[in-house]
Amino acid sequence: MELDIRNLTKTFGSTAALHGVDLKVASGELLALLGPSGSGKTTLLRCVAGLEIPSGGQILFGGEDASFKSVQERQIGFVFQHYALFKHLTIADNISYGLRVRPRRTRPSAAAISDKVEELLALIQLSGYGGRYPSQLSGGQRQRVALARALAVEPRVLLLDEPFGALDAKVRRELRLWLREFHDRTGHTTLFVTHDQEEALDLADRVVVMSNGKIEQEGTPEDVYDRPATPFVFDFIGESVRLDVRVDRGRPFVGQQEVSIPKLPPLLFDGPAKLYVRPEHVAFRRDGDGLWATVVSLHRSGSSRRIGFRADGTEAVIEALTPADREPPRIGDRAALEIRAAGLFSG
Amino acid sequence: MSDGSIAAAVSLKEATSTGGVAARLSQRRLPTEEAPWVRRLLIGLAVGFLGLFLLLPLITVFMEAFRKGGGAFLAAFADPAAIDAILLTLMVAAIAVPANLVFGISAAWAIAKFDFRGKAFLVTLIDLPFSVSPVVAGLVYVLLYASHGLLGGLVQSAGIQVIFALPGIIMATIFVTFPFIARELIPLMEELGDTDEEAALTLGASGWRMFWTVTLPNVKWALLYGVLLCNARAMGEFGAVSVVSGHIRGYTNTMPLHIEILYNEYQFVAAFAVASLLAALALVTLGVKSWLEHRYAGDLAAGHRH
Repeated sequence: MELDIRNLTKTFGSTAALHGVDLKVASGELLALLGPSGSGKTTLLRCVAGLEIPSGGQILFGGEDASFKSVQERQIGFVFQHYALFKHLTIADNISYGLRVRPRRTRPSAAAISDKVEELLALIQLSGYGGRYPSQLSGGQRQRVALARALAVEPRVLLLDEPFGALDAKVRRELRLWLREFHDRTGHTTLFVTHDQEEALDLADRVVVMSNGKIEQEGTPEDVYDRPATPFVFDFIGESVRLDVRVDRGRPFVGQQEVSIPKLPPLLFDGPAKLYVRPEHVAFRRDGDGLWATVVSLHRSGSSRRIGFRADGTEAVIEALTPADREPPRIGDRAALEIRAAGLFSG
Repeated sequence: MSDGSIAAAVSLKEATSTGGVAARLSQRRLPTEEAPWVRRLLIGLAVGFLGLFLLLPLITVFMEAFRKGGGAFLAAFADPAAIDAILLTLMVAAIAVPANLVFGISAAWAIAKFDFRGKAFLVTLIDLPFSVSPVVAGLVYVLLYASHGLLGGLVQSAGIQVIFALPGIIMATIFVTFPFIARELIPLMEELGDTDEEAALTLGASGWRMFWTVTLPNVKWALLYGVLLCNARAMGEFGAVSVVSGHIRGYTNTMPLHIEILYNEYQFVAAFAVASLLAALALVTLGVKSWLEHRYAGDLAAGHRH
């Protein structure tokens, strides 16, 4: 089922949570809504679910306007950050809840329900856990049960709100891989909200970066990481340092030195600008051409070392990342920096 | 307990290296621990006070009731007026408690799940019966529903006698016992939030279905606890009921009122016999309440574990 969100707005009192969001989600796509807290990503998800009523705009499910449909009519599956399992019901009863609350005409028989529960338990690798209670399961297991419960009603769209947010780092990674595999097998159209860029880049077919109720950029994980469209995306995704530069006749200058950056689109403005550089895109040599700078800091982190350079004639510090086993320069050493990729934004 | 074991563990560890330091360390008190004499004094004060003001009177009730033997005790319940009083009390509780159950759940739901203007005022209003003297509550009902009262004409023209009759007693009881259930539910419902309810709705449950299968099971222990407290107070209420009932023997006398009349007529054994029944009901309530607290604490803790 494809989703089409058109010019969606939502205001809470006088504060706007969503400013005219347009988004299309293809059938079977796994899409991540990524942004810091307060960016409107959860509000957007809840509007799609029908748990929030938008202030304006439309939401189409498979071409059909669902804006005025109730939560129940939308047939979505929703997974909450803190699982929201019914703690007084067994795992099996939790999973079958959505089937058992159906009116008698559309309710499957007791045998069909129990078959469905067994099938889903097998799918989430928890066969034999049906008789237990949620409090007897670990966080990762509970979240898988929550997913099975959402899938039992055969939803048209699966919506996950920070599904791994309450889990510890190791379980998070495991469950992320599991969800990716699971999605590839079942093929549900899935939207998931996260503030964790690693999660979004790792898991999603397409990432939608949001900030302040607006979409900053949408694209594949490669797109948003390698070609950030706005300063916000550069800042939010991956690591980068920001340098004040000056553009003079279409050429960027750091202090008095011109920097050459390959693959930069032609600059159509002059004046002050901001240059965003990722540490892995900075290389340094002891001689030759480049942006001359002095080593001001050395810092070992895990398998790599980060080296801070101050560009000549400025206060700007550019970081470079090198393997830890490579002989590091000493503080005060001079080097020529080569910037292999960067983003440049006026202002 | 745990303080002691930590101290023991510390001293054990120290003992392996330097014995003298260990001995001195084991004598040190934790900064949050009082001197032994302070502890003993505080415990003694609390126990003495409770014994003198709570336990002794309770024992006295039962002693007085049985002072002239079991026969005299039972005779008190052979009096038709006593039977009527007991039945009336049970009937009042049977109506007032379910009424407050419904009102309490509605009020708690409104306060915990919605934001609206005047919410803070409503929360304060719910506490009103706790702070207002029951006698004042009774008098207000008399003023409102007596034949010259604001609403008195209205109810009289409908042929309903409120004051000095069953409806007045029930209304006064509902007033006095209103906060018990709502007060139990509000903090719990606020803490639970709406996610369980939202989950039920996304799974296709109707609002009504959601209430019965998700909301109610989540608060059942707190609800039962509130009902028990409400019931205990409904059966024991004296002040408000005394004002509106008119003390018509065999007709508008509840157990507490009946006890007062017997006492004023110098029928001490009978008065204490009926009083002992009321006290026994209270003790049973207390017992069930403690059991529930035990149960309910575990239930809540399970909900908090992640």
